[in-house]
Amino acid sequence: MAEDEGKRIDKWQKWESFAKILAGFSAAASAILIPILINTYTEENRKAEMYVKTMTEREKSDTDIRQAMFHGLLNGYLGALKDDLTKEEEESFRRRIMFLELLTLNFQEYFNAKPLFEEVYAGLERKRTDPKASEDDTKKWENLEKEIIRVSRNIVSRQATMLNSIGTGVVFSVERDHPICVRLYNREDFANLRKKDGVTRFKSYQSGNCIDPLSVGQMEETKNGFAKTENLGLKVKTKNEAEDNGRQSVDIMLVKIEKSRVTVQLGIYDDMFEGKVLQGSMLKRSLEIEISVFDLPYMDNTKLSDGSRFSLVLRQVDDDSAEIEAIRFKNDFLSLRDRPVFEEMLQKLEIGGKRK
Amino acid sequence: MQRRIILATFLLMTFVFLVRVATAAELSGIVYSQGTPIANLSITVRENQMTTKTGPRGEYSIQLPPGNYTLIIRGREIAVTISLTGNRFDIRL
Repeated sequence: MAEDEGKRIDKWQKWESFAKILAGFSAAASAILIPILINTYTEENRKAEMYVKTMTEREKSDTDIRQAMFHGLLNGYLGALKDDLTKEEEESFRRRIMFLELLTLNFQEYFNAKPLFEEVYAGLERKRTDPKASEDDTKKWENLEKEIIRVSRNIVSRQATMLNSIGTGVVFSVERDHPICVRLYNREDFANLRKKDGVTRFKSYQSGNCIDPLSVGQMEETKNGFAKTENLGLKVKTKNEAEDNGRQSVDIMLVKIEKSRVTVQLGIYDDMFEGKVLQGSMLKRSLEIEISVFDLPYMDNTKLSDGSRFSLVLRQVDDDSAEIEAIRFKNDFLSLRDRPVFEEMLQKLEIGGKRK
Repeated sequence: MQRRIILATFLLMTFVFLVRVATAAELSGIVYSQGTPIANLSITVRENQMTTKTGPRGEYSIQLPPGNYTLIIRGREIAVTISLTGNRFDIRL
């Protein structure tokens, strides 16, 4: 019995010794590891704060520079304009065109310079068509008209290229009184969607109107939603049954042609699909608009029912036709000038999170 | 006899016409405006007033017998020569 008691005491003493050694070892390890962990965590936080602070400072200074630049350019333009009201010389027009180019190139996401372009162009047109102007003067004003159109086209072209990179566009020729239907679909839609026959794919454009006058299968809007007209009479369907996936088409008809602008009659349609097959088209809006060579797609665009936007860009005007580019793009477009900053920040933050 | 001559002449002319039609070649290509393919643009052949329009990607195709022709696009005249073998002609306005 005494022997058993001795063995038990011996066992407990061994455990006690082991526990003391373990405790000592843990205390030493903690004393080393905990400061290291705290230090690492603090360092990561400090880096993230430093990064955010640097980016913020950079954005702030960039904004300050742009603000100063904008004021300088606008004041310069208005100063030149003040001279023009009294002088109206070739040099003052050249200065105004230069200022407009600088303003638009640097502030095209925020500033719609179309009225200024049109004002300068109107002044040049007035000088060119002046009966008292000599042949040399007429040529001079004509060259300046071409110059301002060239400047505008350069800016419009850059914007169109940018929008085409995030959306879809088609360039087409439209003749007076010959309507054309343009499908504002994305690339996947052109590959997947089919016309009413279930087989034929859509092309980006077709001659004629987007829909024929009332035909079987055409959707008409009723109080309860969309109704399908059939030979047997109206069959009411709710909007959900006919899947409206937000596809639009636009009728474009050239009504009037001038040197720097055209007037077009537009019909905007919602195309209704069940699955991938077209069921019909609904005319949502009909309007007559003027498209000018000075229209900037960033600013001059129309919102569609699915939230996206489309812009019509006038590229060229001929005697009986016009060359137009139709671009469809997302509504939440940010200029790529801003996007890399946000993308970079997100990537850094993501990498920082993963390391932890 | 006279009837035979008339019949022979008629057959000969029909043969020549059919040969000419049969040897029509295709002129095709893409029309670019400011570097971008342009759709729905009218192209007229001056010699026979044949008109076609470019497709969604600016592509066009015309069947013509071999020879020299003038294409009219937006009031501009463009000379083109068509041979019996494939004729690919991209137009840049």
